[in-house]
Amino acid sequence: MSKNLSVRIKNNILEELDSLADLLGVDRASIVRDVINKGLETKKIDIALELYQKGNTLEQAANKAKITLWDLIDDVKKRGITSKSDIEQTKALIIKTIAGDDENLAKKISEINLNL
Amino acid sequence: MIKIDASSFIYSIKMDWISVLKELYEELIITTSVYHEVISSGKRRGKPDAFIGEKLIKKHDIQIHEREKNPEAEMGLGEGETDTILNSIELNCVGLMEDKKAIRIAESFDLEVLSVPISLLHAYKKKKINDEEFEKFYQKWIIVASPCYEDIFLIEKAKEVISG
Repeated sequence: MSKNLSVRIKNNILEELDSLADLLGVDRASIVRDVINKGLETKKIDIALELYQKGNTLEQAANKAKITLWDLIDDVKKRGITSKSDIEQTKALIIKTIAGDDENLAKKISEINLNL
Repeated sequence: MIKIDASSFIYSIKMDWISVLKELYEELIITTSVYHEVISSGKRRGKPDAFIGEKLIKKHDIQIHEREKNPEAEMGLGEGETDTILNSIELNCVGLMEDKKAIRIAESFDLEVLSVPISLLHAYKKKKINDEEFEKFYQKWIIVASPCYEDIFLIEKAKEVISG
């Protein structure tokens, strides 16, 4: 079901919408609907990325913004955002999983110098 | 046996890593929420890798475990991450997850946790992959997971330490 929405739009935007509608041979309403749908998707991704950068997990941010995790992972990559890191946590996991009882290997991994 | 969360599952599909995980941990499990999040939602959005993931589930006999929703189990994580942690507790098995917050919460339940890059090192140490294969999957992980430079550097150095 669709409903009406009245919004005030600046003249130059209206002219651009009409120009696009002419190019495609469709009415103004069709162009406006298309622009809103695409804008809504972009806005949801922006919100998810903001939530992610504020400390939500990727999955949690995708769930809250109602987008798929696939889309969020793709956009993280597209926008050059790198994953959040906790080097000490990763180092501890590597030691626990890989070194096990091998004290020598555990020592070598713990001594990896991360001063880049 | 290993329980895979949604992000790890997507990364593993994109990296062609599922077959090595299967060789390494024998039993691969996802929850229904992870299945819906990765496969059902991905297919609805027309993501080609979601269709590949569905085939891999059949090919590698990945088990899908049903979990009833428990509103009291709010962990401040995504639904798939929460279910993966709860199911790993029930089965007392290793969990595969990527997010540091999810890993911290899983460890607070005394769960053994891995991430995809650590499973890469694990496979290399267990000689399931050789140097060349390690390099190939390591490059794919960098492309797919957009890790920060410190993580990239740490995994590379840890591999050097393992190879002696």
